[in-house]
Amino acid sequence: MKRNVYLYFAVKLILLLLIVFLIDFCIGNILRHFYLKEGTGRQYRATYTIEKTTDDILIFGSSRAYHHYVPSIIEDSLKQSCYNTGSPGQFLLYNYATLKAVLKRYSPKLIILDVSPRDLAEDKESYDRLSFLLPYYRDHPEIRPIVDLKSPFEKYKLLSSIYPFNSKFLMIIGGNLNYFKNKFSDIKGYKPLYRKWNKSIEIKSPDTYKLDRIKEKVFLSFIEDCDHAGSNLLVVCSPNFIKYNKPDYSITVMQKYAKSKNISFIDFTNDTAFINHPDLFDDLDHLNKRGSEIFTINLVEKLKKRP
Amino acid sequence: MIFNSIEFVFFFIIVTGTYFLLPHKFRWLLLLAASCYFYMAFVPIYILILGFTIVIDYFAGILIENEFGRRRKLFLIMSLIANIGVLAIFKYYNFINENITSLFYSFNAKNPFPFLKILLPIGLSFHTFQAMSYTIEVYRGNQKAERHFGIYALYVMFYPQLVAGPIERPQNLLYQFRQKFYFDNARIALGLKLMLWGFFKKLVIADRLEIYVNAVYNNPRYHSGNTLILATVFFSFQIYCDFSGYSDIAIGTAKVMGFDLMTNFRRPYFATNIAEFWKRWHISLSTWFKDYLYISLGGNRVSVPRWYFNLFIVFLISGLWHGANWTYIIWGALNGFYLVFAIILQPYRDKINQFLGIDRFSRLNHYFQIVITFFLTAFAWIFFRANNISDSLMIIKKIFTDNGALFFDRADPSSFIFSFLGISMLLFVESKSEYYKGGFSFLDNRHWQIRYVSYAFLIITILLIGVFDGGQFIYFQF
Repeated sequence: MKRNVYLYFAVKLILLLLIVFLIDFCIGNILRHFYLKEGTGRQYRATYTIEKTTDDILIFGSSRAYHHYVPSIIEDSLKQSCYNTGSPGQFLLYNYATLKAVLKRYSPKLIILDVSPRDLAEDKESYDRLSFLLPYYRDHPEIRPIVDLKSPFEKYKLLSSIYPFNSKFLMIIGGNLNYFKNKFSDIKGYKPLYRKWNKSIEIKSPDTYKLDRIKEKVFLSFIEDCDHAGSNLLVVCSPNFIKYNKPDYSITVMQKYAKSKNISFIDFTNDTAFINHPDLFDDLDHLNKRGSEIFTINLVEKLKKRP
Repeated sequence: MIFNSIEFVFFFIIVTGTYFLLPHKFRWLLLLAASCYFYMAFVPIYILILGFTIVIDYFAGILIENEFGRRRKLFLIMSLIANIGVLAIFKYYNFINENITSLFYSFNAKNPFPFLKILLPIGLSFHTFQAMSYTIEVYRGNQKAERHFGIYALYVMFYPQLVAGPIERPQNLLYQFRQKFYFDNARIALGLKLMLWGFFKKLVIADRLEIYVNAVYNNPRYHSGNTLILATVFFSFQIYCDFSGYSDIAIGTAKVMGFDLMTNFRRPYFATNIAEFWKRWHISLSTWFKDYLYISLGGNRVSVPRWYFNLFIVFLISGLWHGANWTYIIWGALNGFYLVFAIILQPYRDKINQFLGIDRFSRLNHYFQIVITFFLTAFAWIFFRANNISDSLMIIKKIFTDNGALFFDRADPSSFIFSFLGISMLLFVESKSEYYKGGFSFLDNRHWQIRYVSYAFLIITILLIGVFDGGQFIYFQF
């Protein structure tokens, strides 16, 4: 009798799991198909970065990279192809994962890594945001060690075919519609902003925070992997409209590491060409179109002067 | 350990599986060990605080039962002081000290009392209140003192309701630890269904709404009045789904093993007045305050002004129970004010209704009252959610004066759309339960095919649009 109760329960549970598995498998694979077919938007750009880039110069970074580096100016000045892989809301961990996927295919001649204050700060959210890379987990073993930093249970959650596309299905629809292709297109990964900041500059001391040892290691690995692949690396901290009365801890640490590995580090924070001109900014952290053009020209000049 | 984590899924499967495999006499030990592990997954050292109150109340219960007259009362008072003392130190000391510092500062003096560098133990107010209800009930003679230390410890620490309730009474829970529960398919299915619905509310609705609410409430000065109204409405649903979702998971987890915990929420946003709202919202706390504070103060068997005072003071303390911050106190006071004001106005409202013949449109009036009650509650939630009082006042001012554009991410409106989708699904299910109980049911359908597809639909929806990197349950902090 007792055994029958357990058996009955087990059969019902297995039946439910089978139904869930079947639906999950079908929907998950439909989502994967359309995800990889996207022609615009953040997700498309991530796929393009990981699977398709062939450019000589690649720019890595967050939304600051996305809105600050104008590939066409770099291409015209350096006569080399360039793509901006900057992704809003994504920082060092994401950049390193995408770098690994790129280096598996080819070695760009120059890699520019845009960093920001607090990049090495302890912050759970930056690990949570790695879920953006889950659609690539299955086919790109090189990014798995980074995604696994999110949680030791990630591989179990990925038994579901839908989970990698969690919260993404509206973006997948958008990325497959021509209407959005025109509306959200970018120029070789660059997206200009158009507002003009009209408030006075904030003068502040950098936040105090604990350094994340994992992020420090990831930064070092980023440098070493570029070196092993034979790609030149340039680390840049692009401008923001905040005047720091002393250097940010993350920037100082990254500068130290870059110096120890003979990597150029260009710091535009507190650069008077920008902090005296609010009209070059869209908000405190992002340059607008004119600002990004001036910044890119400025950067290219510095690049040309390099030995 | 939080319910919405993969760790909990493994924990639940292992504990429940072992529970049914073990002989009955060892089950309490398993549950106690599991509860200790569950609690220690947060901050291990704080189990000592829990241990302290358990030891005090265990012996207090026995001493109260064994003694007569004033000594009984003395032991009760000692136990209450110990419990409230723990709450006072860990939850309220720094808040009181902060206010003393401000007071001293206004007289150009320095506060001599140091601040304590302590974290608030998770769920402290919940298990302290549950422990207090035990000694009070033993004192009142409604409950025999528990002689088995392990069973008593389990009453305070039972993991499904340890950190966020429902706050149980000893008469309802203690005896269940001695009952032998068999593996019952129907009961297990009921428990799992409740858990599934709880996960849906937490992951699909609460954590989704939290994204918008946090973005707006953490920077209210940058947002328009319209945005703040929407964020406040979202927060009303967020806190409901967060807390009632937790309760559903807790009640479901206990039910799978055979235990019946009390209902904590009964569709509160369908209440037609504030008094009814509080009979539907956090029922285990409302009834706790009613049983142990309101009635002790004389309830409504006193003069009318004193009755109003009793009502008001209970809500004020309820606000303070939620957190050591003036925002919570104002939130409690506002609810107390609503209730007293509603009682005072009731005869006039009846006369106006009669004069206007509103009774003839009773259905319409019913929905109108639901909407009014919802907005009054939502207005009070502003104080509950805002980071401080000046933010609350700024938000209220902006709601009435700043008619700017609505904030949402035009490049990725997914989160915004999922928020409305989640609320719509909740309202559909809850209005069906409220008004059409006997009608067509998905999760309880007599055809297993429909039932199973409905379960699968909920699971798939959670996988598709649930938020898996969301934070803890809001009520853990209390």
